[in-house]
Amino acid sequence: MGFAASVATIIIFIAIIIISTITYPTLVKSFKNVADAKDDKHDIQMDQVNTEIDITDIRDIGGNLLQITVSNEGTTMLHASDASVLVDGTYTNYSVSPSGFWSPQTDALFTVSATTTQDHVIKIITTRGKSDMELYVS
Amino acid sequence: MGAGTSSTHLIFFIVAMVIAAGVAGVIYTNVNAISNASYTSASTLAQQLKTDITIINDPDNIPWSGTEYTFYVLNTGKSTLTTEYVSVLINGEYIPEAVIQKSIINGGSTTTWRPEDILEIEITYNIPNGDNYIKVITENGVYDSFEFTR
Repeated sequence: MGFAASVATIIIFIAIIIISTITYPTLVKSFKNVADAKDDKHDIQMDQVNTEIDITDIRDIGGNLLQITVSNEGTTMLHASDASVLVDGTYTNYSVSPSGFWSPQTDALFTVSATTTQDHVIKIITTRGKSDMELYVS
Repeated sequence: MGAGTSSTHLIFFIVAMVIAAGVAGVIYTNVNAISNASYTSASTLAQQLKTDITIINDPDNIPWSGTEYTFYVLNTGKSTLTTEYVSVLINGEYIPEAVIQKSIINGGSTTTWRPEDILEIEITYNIPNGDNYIKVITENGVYDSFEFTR
């Protein structure tokens, strides 16, 4: 191999080393992004699978207020104040006890305003999208 | 070695250097383009994996007033979305932005849709009686569809 060919080979070799050095961090960052996102996806799915709620009772507590007893039947901690309540399909503001952590195998008491002399369909939705629906019969 | 031979060698050497530099430049340009595309693609894929939405309406009780229907969509993922880029199809038909009103329930911003927030979509559209379906599509193509009756 002549001198020119040797120098040309060295130039290309060095160029490949430099290019690899520049590219490697970008590729690692890309893989890390996807790996982190896969972990998030896994967390989302695990939380959804481990979440289950059940409306066990709906009662009229007077003053056109309904008290809905909802049991956390899953295995993850929920936040009752982050749940959503639909009364006859319409989003309704509510008060809840306990308002903070809602442990598995415990009840949360949701209180919503609704005409208690009429039937209503109550739907409670957790932040993971898991829900339960029950009919209130006046 | 004569002056002619030396000149020839020098020319060959310079040409070899130019070609080597050219090849290195082309390799750099291509690898850089692939690397950038891979990064963009990975970012998009990561966003898609982190995005999840759920339509939480009662399928038999869609709130309506005249021809205005209300749908609730919960952000069940881990990424913050932009409400401006949310598209809606009803029975496969694209619903134009002009007849859609979007707002975040109990939220400060109308455009930022954070995880666990509910997006309220009010659509003025003549939905036929009977079985229908709605598809809500986010900015990165992740969607949820929902069958309901009117």
